[in-house]
Amino acid sequence: MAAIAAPRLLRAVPIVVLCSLLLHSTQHVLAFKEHEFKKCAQTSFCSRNRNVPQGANFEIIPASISLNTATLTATLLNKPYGKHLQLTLTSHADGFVRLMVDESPSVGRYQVPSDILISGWENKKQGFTENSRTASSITLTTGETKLELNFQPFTLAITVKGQPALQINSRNLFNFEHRRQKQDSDPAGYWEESWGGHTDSKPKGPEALSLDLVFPGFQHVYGIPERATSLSLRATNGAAPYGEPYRLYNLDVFEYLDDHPFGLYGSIPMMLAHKKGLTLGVLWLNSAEMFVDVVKERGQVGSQWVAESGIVDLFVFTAGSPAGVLAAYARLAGPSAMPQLFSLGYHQCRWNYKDEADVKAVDAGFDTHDIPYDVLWLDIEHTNGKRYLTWDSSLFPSPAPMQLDLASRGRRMVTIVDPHVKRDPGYYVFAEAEAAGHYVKNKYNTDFDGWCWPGSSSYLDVTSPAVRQWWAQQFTLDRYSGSTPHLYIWNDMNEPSVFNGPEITMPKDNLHAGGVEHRDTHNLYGVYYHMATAEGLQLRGQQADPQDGDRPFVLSRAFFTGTQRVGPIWTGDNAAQWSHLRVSVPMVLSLGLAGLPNVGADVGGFFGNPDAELLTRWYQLGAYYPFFRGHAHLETQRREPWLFGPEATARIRAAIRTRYSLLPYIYTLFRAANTSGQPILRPLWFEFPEHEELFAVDEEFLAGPAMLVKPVVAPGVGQVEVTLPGGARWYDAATGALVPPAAKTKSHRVQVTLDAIPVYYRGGHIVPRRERPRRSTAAQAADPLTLVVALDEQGGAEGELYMDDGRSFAFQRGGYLHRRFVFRSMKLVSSAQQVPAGGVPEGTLTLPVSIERVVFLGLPPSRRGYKAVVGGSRQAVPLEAGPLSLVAAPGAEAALVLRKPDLPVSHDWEVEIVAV
Amino acid sequence: MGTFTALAFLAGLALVHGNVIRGLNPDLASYYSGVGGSFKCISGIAKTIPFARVNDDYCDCPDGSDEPGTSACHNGRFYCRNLGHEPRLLASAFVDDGVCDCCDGTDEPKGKCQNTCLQASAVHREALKNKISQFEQALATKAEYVSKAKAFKQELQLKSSTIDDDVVRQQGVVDHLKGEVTRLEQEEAQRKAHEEAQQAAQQAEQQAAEAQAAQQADQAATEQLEPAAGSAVAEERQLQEGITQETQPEEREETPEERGRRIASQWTNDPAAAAVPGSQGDVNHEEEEEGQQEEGHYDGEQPSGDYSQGAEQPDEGEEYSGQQTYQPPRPDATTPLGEVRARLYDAERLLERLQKDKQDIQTYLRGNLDFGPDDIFLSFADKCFTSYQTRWNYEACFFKNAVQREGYSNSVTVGRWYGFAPDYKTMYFTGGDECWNVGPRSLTVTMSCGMENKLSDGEEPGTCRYAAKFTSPALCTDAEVEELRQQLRNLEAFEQEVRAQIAKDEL
Repeated sequence: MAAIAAPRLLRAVPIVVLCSLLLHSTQHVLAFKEHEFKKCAQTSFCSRNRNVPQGANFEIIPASISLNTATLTATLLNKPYGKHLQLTLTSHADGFVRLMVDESPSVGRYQVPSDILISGWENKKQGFTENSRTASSITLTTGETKLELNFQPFTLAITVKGQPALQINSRNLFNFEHRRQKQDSDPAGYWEESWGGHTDSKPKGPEALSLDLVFPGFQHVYGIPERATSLSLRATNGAAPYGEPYRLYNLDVFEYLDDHPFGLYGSIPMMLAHKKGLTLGVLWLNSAEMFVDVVKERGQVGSQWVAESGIVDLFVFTAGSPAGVLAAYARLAGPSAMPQLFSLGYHQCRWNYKDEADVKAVDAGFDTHDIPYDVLWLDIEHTNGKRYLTWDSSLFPSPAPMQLDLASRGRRMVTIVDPHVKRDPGYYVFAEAEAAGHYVKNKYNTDFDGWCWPGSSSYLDVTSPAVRQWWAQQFTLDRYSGSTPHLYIWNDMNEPSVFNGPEITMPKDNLHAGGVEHRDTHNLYGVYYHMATAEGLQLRGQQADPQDGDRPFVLSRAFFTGTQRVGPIWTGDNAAQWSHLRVSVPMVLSLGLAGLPNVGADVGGFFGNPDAELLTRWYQLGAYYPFFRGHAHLETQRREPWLFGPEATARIRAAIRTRYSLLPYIYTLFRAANTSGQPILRPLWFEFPEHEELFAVDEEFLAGPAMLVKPVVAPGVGQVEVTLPGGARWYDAATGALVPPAAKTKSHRVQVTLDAIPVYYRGGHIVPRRERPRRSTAAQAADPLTLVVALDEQGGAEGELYMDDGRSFAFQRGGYLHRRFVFRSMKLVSSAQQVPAGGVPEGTLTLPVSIERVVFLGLPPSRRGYKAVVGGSRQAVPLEAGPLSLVAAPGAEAALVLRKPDLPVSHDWEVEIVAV
Repeated sequence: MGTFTALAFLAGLALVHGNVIRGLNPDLASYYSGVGGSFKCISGIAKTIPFARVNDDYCDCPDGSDEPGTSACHNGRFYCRNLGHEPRLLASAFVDDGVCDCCDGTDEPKGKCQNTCLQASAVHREALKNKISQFEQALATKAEYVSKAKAFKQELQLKSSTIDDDVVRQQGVVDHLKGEVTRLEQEEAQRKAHEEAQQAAQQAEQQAAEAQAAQQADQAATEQLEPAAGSAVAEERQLQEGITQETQPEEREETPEERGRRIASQWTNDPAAAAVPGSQGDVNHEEEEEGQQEEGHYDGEQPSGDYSQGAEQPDEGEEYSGQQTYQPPRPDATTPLGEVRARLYDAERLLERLQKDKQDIQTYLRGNLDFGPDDIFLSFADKCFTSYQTRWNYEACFFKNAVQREGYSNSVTVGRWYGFAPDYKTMYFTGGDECWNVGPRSLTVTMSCGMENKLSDGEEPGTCRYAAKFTSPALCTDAEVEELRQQLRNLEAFEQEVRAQIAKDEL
């Protein structure tokens, strides 16, 4: 950074504009500009409901109750208005119950479309048993869940496995604003609301909803991303900024702060509550702006959820365990998409790689410095004047040969494609979409015109299936000129970002297909755009390979429930600051708990310039992000991994190689996410749900069940405190050394150098690795594997390995192999992993890949050592002293290694270990 | 499984077949004699392994030395002989990874890659030839610089004896003409003032009448518009186009476009993105933007790149004269006053030129400056060069000063001319603007031979200590081109040898 401290000189401009420019010039002091975004008190629907007790106004009319196997319906009366609402309670075999409240008769309030969830779940019901009914309540049971519906006032209490789990309206904060006629006496804010120079016309008047959810006996709640805050959500009745409720409204927030309840680019209205013995999940499927208050009282967590419009559509996940809740969520909203293997490698991005020569030089730089990477990214400057799906012909005269050249080394390219379309009649995308009426309309029902990167722009109305279908067709090779099958896509700005709109997004009174107001559907815009783009790549893949296709890869910034089925997201425009490095951990974990596991933060920090130490620490953590991409702002100094001197280059190389060596394990974790919704990165309590002391830990995490990672998130650190859950065995992942076991969770002081962050294998688990550093995932395909067998107290361990072609949908019809490794009674056995229930076909793939090394951690001491009997062979091979990891700790030979057993990965086999 | 191990075993055998150890660097051959049937890891911890474990596709040595020909070790080095081109040491990661890295193809299984070494050598040879001819051109340019510098110096010397008198004399001419102009202007002004006073009285009456009529028309129009269905759309459009009627410059609100540009500029820090359309300095930009939309063509044109700095930057290292100043147009000489003004204009230009000469003589002739061998750098007198970086640009003017600029507005002097290092491969600018806690700023420019004059890589390696690179034909030497010619001769001889060797091998 150059040290220019003098204020900018400004040209003579009008004062209002001048003021804003002055603010702009000091942005690095102010950062996140609170005045550009609304608070609850500045928002009519929030301020008229927050902490306003209206819940006692609502009563169930006992005679209206009707119970039909798995469905209970009742009329809910809003007494002061004499207004009838319809309450529906259903029970589902997939581990959840659903509560719906809508006006009766229906007035056509907005309901999140069914394609945000998967299909088929509605038919899998599980009947209610009526336990008792009195004049004031009815009690039902379904499975291990008990529901008690009280009539006056309306409350609902749910217990799971005999434990109180959820109370609805117990704090009297429920509310349902019905549609009404305009009255002269209506309070301000009912029919019109102005803020920041924008006026929202609100033609439908007030229609807000308030949900009062109390989690009895709980102290910790998680989820409701996206925001930069702690994993265990803090109470929102505290000191600033935590006097504001958590907000769910997808926004493009410039220079967001690293500790703030404010909502960012995406929203998932899913919350987990956890206590010893019980985990509960709640999802309010509603895509309008929402504020969520959390209060922590003695013995319970209370929450109030206020949404601007829509209906009450609450899913309560009652499986009881964290894994069970997320599995049930996946059965409703769909599991995480199986990613292409290349997309789990390292991504190199920058705003912007300037031209073809720059691309070539950066690509070559990775090979020159022996650093693996898979994908090179092009940001907005690659286009012709921000007209997406075009190329700047002077900077990128031959885009297809450029991609083919990358592909010759097994690499891919990603280009950015945003939802704003430059209003230029000569731009084919604009002209076609305009002629077909594919744009979001303003309140006067003409094409909305907003300002974004290209200047004056219109926005595709992706809430319409017809528009999505049209958009998908733009990605075929013949339509997207200069594209090749090696090109994948990045969707940015899809909140949507509108530079001159209210809060940098679209006016709420804009209109979508079917006359739907933007207010109702705002939080869905991003996922629908993401979905349409991914459908485009899927279509392209089907054209090339009608049978197996090509899995889409589309990165998005905005998201909602359902995004997990489409592709990864990243945490947006973070900054090159230690605090942003730190907060990326709870951000990624929170997303995983909300059913969206394939996520990552920009390594290095988007804004600003990281020094070598921060960048190194970020790569060391980033190697474990499910989505691992380095990215940088236009005006930052170049920061390709080799630009910080030989020492930093070596450390970053080691970090990226660590990632590549773990890909067999990580890919297997992605399969678990794909079949049962399990997160890739997990809070410690997720794996140790009974350890209360872990419920708020959010600076370290588990990668899958088997590895614990402690990032270093401060400069100049020589030692860190690592919390290792008690009752388990932990082995240093660099040396294999066993941490002295403890029954209780302990904090361990651990020495660290700049070379690595502390990582541990968890006893009882087997981790497959690939120890040969390669230039890309493609180049690893035939490499042999290493199994790390980390034994628990009983001398046992288990693990899995999932492999397929890494790119197509062939796995859906059995084109995969899934092995289960079990070490018991000194015998390591490989067998086929049992296929999970629910229509997954048996794996039939065999791959010419072998296991070249088995590393044993925690074998009891044996004076003369051990030998291994491989398969039926009569000859025993001695276990040798060797390094646990060739890369992590060269020279350390503390582990016991079975050298070169050449076990075929596709087959069943056994290895017996015998003391000599 | 049986087949599987057998295959691996065969593959292992092939790697040491015929005593040729795959991928072995000949310089290290002595370590791989196999004497005693064992192999000692070359460096790092002392470890001895059976020789059969060399190149057996399993990494035994922490230094990777037991696997020169496989990918088993993360830190191994694979040697390709690349006969016909240059030998290469490859990271073992690139061995058998499906990509041909060595031109002789030995890094991949047999049959996977073609031997392209002679082609690679030919490419190298052509590149070398190209480079030589570029160097020759650069040397010709250098010779031009020397003669230009010489001519400039002679010209200054020629002028130096009379320059002081010339300036004084020309100053006299200018002063006289200025007097003439003032006199004629006063006469003109008096005549005009009289005429205007008469006209003003008439106009005032007329305007009062018009204003009244206009007000009535406005009212009528508003009443008509309001109940109409499309009125709101019209208002919206007006808003969007930024047409607000009673705009008082000090108080008016942003137009939607201004708001859009301002928000965009948060991300780009680009003054052009934040600029108010139509305000000074942004006019061309605006016209270009509108032009594109109206004409609707976009193929092949330069990116509008409105919000990025990149697209509007000229090529890095652009050169221009540091003396560019605004020149008013020559007055129209058709009226008597105009004729005198035009004469004054010419006289002033001549005076400026003489003053410039005087200044140049002061600077370049009497200033005791060092212009390098043959005064070659004198050819850069008055020349400035800019290194365009992402955020800050650096501009260095020979024998004057150097500045760092941010956008259009902000600049800091990072040094004033100090001089060259004795080898003329570095130039220094020192004593720039004060830097808090550090002292005056300074810039060090390292200079090297290049085909064009170009300042590049401006950066700040230490706080307020700046650095940049400058390339120029002026820095090229005969020795360098001779070195390249020798390389070419060696290469050609080597190619001959290889061809002979290959012919022999084929027999």
